[in-house]
Amino acid sequence: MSTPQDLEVNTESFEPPAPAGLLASAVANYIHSAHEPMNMVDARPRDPRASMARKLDDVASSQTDASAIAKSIHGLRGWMHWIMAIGMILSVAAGALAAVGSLDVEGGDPVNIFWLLGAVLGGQTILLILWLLMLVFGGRLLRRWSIGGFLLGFSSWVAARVGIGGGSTGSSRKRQVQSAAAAVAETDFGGSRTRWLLGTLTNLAWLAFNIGLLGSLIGALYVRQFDFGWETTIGSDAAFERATEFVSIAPEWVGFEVPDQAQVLEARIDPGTGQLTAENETTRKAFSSLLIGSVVIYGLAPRFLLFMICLMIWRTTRRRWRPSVDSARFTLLRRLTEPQAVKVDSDDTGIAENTPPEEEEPPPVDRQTIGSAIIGIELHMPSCGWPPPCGAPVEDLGMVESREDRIATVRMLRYSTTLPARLVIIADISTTPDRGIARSIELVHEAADQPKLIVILSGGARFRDRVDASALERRIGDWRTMVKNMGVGGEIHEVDLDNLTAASRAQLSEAVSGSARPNLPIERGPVASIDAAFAEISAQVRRWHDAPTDKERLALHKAVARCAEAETGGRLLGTPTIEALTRDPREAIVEAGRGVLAMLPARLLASGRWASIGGTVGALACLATAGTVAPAVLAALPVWLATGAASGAGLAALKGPDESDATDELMETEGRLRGEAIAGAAMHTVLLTFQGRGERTIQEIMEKVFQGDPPELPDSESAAHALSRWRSKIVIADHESRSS
Amino acid sequence: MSEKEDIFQIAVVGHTNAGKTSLMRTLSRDAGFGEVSPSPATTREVTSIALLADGIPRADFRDTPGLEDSIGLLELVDRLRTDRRDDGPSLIERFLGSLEAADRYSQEAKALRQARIADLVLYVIDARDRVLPRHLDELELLTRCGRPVLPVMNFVSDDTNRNEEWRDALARLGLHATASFDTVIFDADDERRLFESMRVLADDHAEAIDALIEDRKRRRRRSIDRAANAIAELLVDSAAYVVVVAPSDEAKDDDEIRYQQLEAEDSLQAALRKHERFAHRTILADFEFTDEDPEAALLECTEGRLGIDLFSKEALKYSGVGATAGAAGGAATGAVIDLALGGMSLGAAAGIGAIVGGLLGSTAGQGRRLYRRLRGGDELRAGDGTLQVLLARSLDLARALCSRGHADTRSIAIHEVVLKDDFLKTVLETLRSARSHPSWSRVDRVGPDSQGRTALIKRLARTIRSRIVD
Ligand SMILES: Nc1nc2c(ncn2[C@@H]2O[C@H](COP(=O)(O)OP(=O)(O)OP(=O)(O)O)[C@@H](O)[C@H]2O)c(=O)[nH]1
Ligand SMILES: [Mg+2]
Repeated sequence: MSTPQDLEVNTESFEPPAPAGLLASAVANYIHSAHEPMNMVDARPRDPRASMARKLDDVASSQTDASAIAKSIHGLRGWMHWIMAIGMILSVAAGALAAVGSLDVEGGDPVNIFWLLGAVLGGQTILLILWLLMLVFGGRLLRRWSIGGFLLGFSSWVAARVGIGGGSTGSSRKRQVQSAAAAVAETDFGGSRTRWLLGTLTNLAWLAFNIGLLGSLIGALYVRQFDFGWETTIGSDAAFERATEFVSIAPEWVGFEVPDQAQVLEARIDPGTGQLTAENETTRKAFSSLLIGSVVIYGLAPRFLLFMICLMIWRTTRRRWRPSVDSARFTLLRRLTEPQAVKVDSDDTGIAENTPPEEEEPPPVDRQTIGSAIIGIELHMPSCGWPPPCGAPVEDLGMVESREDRIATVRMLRYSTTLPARLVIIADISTTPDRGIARSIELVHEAADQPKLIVILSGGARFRDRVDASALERRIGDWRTMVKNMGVGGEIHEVDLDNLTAASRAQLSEAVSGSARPNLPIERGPVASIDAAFAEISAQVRRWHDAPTDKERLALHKAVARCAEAETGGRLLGTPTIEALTRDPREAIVEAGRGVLAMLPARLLASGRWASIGGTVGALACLATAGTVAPAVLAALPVWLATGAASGAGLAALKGPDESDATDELMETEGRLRGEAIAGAAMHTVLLTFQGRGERTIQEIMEKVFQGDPPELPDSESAAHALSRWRSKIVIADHESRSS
Repeated sequence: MSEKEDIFQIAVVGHTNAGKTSLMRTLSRDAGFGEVSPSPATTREVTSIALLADGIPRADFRDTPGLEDSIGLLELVDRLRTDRRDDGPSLIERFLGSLEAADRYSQEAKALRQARIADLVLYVIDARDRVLPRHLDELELLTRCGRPVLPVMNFVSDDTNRNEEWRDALARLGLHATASFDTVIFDADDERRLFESMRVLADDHAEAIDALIEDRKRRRRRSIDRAANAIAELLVDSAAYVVVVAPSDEAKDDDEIRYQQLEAEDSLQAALRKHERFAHRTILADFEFTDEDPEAALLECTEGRLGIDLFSKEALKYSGVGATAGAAGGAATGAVIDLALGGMSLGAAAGIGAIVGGLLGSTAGQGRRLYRRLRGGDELRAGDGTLQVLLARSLDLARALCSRGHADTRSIAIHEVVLKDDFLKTVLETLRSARSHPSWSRVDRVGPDSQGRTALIKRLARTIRSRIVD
């Protein structure tokens, strides 16, 4: 199990004063009254299963000044004990004086026993009854006349002046005492404890009074001789006899000697002489014993009993007291008692064994370095399209995201006969420059034989929307650090390709070409026309709203044909002439489709979708090169395309019935339609570019380039990615076909 | 200890900056956990934190370093395959034992090692990112660890999120259970759903997860209750608070009187500001935030009101005179007190006043105020406008904290929310009784709570609570 951590434990450990929660309450007061927010010590309760009050005490005792506050609490209680002690001494003295006063120690006259009993017991009995009434009925009154308030006011006033609860100085000490006093006032005097404490104190005072009384009575009786008697003006003797008997019951029961009937009669004061009728030793003893017994039974005993009862009840209610933890002043302490989580030490060890990583093949030697190459790494397709307008011819290495992209680009660079002198990496500024990105850059950079490295960060506006200015600075700094750590040197520029201005265009072209003036064009063979065609496709695709219309598809192929014009005349070999087309369109389309299908490798032919793309390419290619197309022909375009597709698909159905079945079940989604249109244009480009190389070579290249199923390309971004992927595959395939 | 083995273990993994440490912070309600920054590779070591329900550790969440070069790593792992029968976990084990795991891919190794032993892997996603090949490679690596993976989409409150794209992509990989949980904009329901998704994937620990869900629910309710209570206390304290302006016979001329009043205003303002700050700190703590001073304009309460209607029904009832006894009774009490103090000036009588006041309880406090009034002294207290500002600001704070994740690194700014008229009226009406009980105020003193104060706070808190969560 995890152990809660005590971050800082108060060096003085001490036992919090009772009851549980008192210290917490005092510390809460102290925190509450601080002028400046106090820093809380992050302590945890020792026992998470303890009561809330105890847990609070635990965390409170670790807080600043807690021990001083605890001392203040003890100090305050000490003071109150002193006050009580003084009160008791005074009460004892009062009791003694009362006895002396009512006994008339100097005079020799007989002491009127009933008068005496009335004097020492009457008053306190009446008060006792009053107190009991008050206890039963005076709850409301007592609550208002708070003795707690008095004691609190007085004791904290005194304490602050004489300096109880030492330690720190000045106002913080005063606050300590006040906080302690407020807490003690609540635990010791608050609520129903007021009346029980009041009861305890009054009864204790009367107890002391009675002790004093008893003491001085016994003392007086011991050293002097008193005659006890009684007299009456209007009462009957019998009544006094009964009264004496009545008073005697309890003392006698306890064991005190009491006067019998004869002795009572003897004690009758003769109205004539003022002396007793008869008095002797035993009568005197009996009466003094009755006197003492009465004080004990009627004065001392009930007070003692009540004192004990009140004390017990007070103690119990005090023990039952709970801090009102939902009050705001407890919040900061309470938080510490209810942790929601604890830190755990974790073990993380890894043992390394030796498995040497595979070495990558070294790049070929002796290559010409010329111009700039750009590459997008995890780049969000910029709104200016890909490649961005660099103002100078650059080699487009495409966009790299996946492992396959990475490998393809590296291989392309490795096999290429020329190498870029400047490698321009374009990335999103919102991309975190982590080791993965660094690795991609490193790999490409190495494969290109360590040209000058330029990093252009795009998407600044989008990033700024998301974060504040400091984060942007920080992010650029992180990129800089990453490039620096690669140890190859390099520049970082921020150019937002989404919002190109004249200035940022210039900045871009300068960064790419290394100078304000553009480089000389580079001769790159077939790749140049592919780049031109793909750029055109990508530009057109961006203008599409949803699935391309037939006209849009035709426009795509026209663009492809136009780009290939310089190289190959733009006309796909084997496509029928316009005359043939107008003579018998259906026949011509099927013918054209067949021409294209003849150049497809077996795998593509077997796939219904690729085959139908191929068929359509034939149809579109022949229309694209037909120059101005008659409106009638245009109107019939859908039919023709369908025919082309069907002829391809029909062919595929012959070769691989399973796949074409599956094709029919596929949904005609927008992404799929766009994907097929773009794949068709790409296929057209490849066919046009390589048609001079012979059927086998073209088949091989097609095999390598168009892998898998025709992609779904729902947006221009995915289209650009697909084109860039095809492009790098074309470059590699071309290289391989030439070297074999 | 056996308990350690049994405890539900969760590895939090993901690309660097996806918000793993942020997730840890928000789940553990600990804004100080770990280090959070927008730079890569912020977390370098595995750090673990146990979530408690009822004080008992129930789930051990492990923050791991970010996966950075998953593309390269997956390539490496693929190369480690020597046998057709090699399955994902054995390849990962082989990688973890390799030299590369201690070198170039040491960060990834730390994360994968945790993913290998955990009962559940939380894959944190920055939902604003496009679904990139590197993410798919990360998921491939994690699936190879052979443990259930729950993708958690972070940043979902951002407008530019790509939740749907992600859900699609994850579904294609067979990961149909996903969770959305923004670590900065906190949503208790999202958190519950996250835990529920975890329960689906880690059925063995359903009990622990249920305990956590329950505990969190309870705590949240309590946080809101307590915040409402803290606001109610702040208002009652401030409404009851009174600053004494010395009796006019001590002042020589008008200037001096004016000066005394300004001084009283200053001290009223300072005291209430301090108290407001304390209340805000309390509310922060109620939501497990610490040691932050929210950014708020200083409280202005220049419209403190002079004087008080001592003969209001409430005041008289409280002084024990009873409403029927009327003004004469009140004045009589004042006279008695005047006699008791023997005509001493207030300053000199302060010490004795404290004692007598304490002895006679608050009743005498009322009398003392009467006495002061009779002698021409005055009292200053916060007006309704000030109370309104205090309410509006603390309510705003409480509301903001309800939906603030502990991962939020921005500082908290407090605004004044616009209060509905009827609500404001109810609150001010409720506070009226506090006006005539200066002893209820805890603005600059502490003391035992009286029943009247407690009851008023309870009543007020109920009204306010309904405005924190509406
Ligand atoms: N707006 C917002 N920002 C977030 C959110 N989650 C995390 N962030 C921020 O994203 C950045 C990265 O968060 P971290 O928690 O450090 O990410 P991490 O996954 O732990 O990163 P490493 O430790 O480097 O692997 C920080 O700047 C966070 O403030 C969120 O949900 N919303
Ligand atoms: Mg982290």
